[in-house]
Amino acid sequence: MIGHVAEIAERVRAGETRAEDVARAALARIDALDGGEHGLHAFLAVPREKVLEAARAVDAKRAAGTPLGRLAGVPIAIKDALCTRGVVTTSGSRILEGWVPPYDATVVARLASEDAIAIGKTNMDEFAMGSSNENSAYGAAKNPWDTSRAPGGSSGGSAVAVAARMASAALGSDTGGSIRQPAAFTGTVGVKPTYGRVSRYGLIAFASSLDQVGPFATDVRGAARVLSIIAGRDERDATSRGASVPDFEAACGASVQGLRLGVPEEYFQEGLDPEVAASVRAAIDGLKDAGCTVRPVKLPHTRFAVATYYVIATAEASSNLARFDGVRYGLRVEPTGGDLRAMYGATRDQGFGREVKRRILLGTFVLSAGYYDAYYGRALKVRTLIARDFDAAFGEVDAIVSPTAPTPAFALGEKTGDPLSMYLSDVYTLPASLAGLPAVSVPCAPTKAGLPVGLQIVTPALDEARGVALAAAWEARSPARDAVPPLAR
Amino acid sequence: MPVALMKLDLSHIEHVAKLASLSLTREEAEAMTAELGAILKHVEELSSVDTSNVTPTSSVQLGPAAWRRDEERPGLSHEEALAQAPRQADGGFAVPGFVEGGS
Repeated sequence: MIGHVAEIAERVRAGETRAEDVARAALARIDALDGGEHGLHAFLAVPREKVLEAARAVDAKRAAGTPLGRLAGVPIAIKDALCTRGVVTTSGSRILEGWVPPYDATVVARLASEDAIAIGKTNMDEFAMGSSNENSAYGAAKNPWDTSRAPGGSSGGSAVAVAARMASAALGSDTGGSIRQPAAFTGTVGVKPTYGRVSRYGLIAFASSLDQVGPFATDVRGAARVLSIIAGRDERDATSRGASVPDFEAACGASVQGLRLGVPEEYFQEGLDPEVAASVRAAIDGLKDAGCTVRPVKLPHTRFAVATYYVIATAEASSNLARFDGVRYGLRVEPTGGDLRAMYGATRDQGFGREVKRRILLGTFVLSAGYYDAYYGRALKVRTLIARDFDAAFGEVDAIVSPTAPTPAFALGEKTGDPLSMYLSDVYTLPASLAGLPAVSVPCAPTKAGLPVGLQIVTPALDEARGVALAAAWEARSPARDAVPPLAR
Repeated sequence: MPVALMKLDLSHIEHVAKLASLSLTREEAEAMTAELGAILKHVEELSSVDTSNVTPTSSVQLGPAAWRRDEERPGLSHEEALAQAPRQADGGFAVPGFVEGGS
């Protein structure tokens, strides 16, 4: 089984384990668990030779006496929305089948510069549009806790890779909950950083005012270490911020004594599974035992978050996805005797899956003449009100704690026939996304059926460290700490 | 938002599909009309929010945008840029004709 980030890095740095042996162990686990009809299908590509080459390079570096990086030999899975030079990158779409990027995303390069091993590309909902992984053009990944259930989405493959210990950590992207919700569904730690905290250079864009890259890991410390490495200004992304990056790992073990936690009553209403509610309330009690105080807060515009998000995100997606036109890369379909417009239309019709088309149409509609003000314009204003709710709450509390998702992992196929019910499953993660705030999902006690449950901790902008400290304080007491799905033991 | 509350019909979807350069089959367009209709019905709840005197948030800004220095530096080579093109000709991307007399 692949261990925690810090354990592997320390052992490889100390020469107790070779990076190549760790890489071989990770590849063997992927062989055993991921492939075939009954496999978890977390990975879309595993570039074995490159993996072993990279691992041998780390070992050679150590042998030469060069100090190794903070992720020495650590196998990290990469969401397929992130460009990897020389390794096929599809973003879960047919329209990019076989596409080989000529450059690395900045976050991928930063992991490599700390001697991490990019173990493979992970399955995802097409262009990150989905909450279950079922919109992947290559078939859904499965939840290792119950393979009849969804791993969550859109970064489902990254979550599964970590949950089944095929990797110590993974990169995902979160637009409306795409790191936090799969983390909750799979019993892993996931962090959505503040908007602008992490470079998006090389992230295939979905909704640019919301997209943010972040880590998954088997423990809070591992996620914190990866975050410390990927965060910070990148001159290739003008939306990345220059704010100084603290050592997030140092926040693990920091005292949470006296921190004020807010519990939003709007997150504990109709639609919340009673077992999830009980598990999350027990986690909040655990943080109380660790010295936090707890009080109710109000986030009155929460119920408008789904509508607001699906207008804004689809509008931005309709613009971002206009680049897939069959001209410069990816799929091209040329109807006989057709002109350029016919090629665009046919390429996009065949290349995009159902959900992507649905969102492009919705986004184009809300931006179209006659409807712009009523839909898009209004959604931008409600977004302001949602952000103000958080501003007001953070005047009274230091962090907001809630369930990450209203239910445990739902069954594959359960929501595919009803797009709206799928959208509503994001109700607790969307508000922080719209407000640009950082949030952590950390495992709490599982349901009676053994399904993982996530506690979401939202903190003020750029205060990921406080979220990490609280997550680590809870993790130390959590019955779900170090829990591994039976099939992966 | 009285105009927006009108019922979505097939002609809207066909118009929007054209704007989005998506060639949908009639069957797809009909299914999308129903699905988007249901989603827009949910979205209509936004009309109950009082947004008078509220400024829109198109993006959450934490300080000014961080531009890099405007200086020349190497980018993709011509070869790399063309490497993934579905069709190329004369060192460029080849596309079907789109003007009279084109090929």
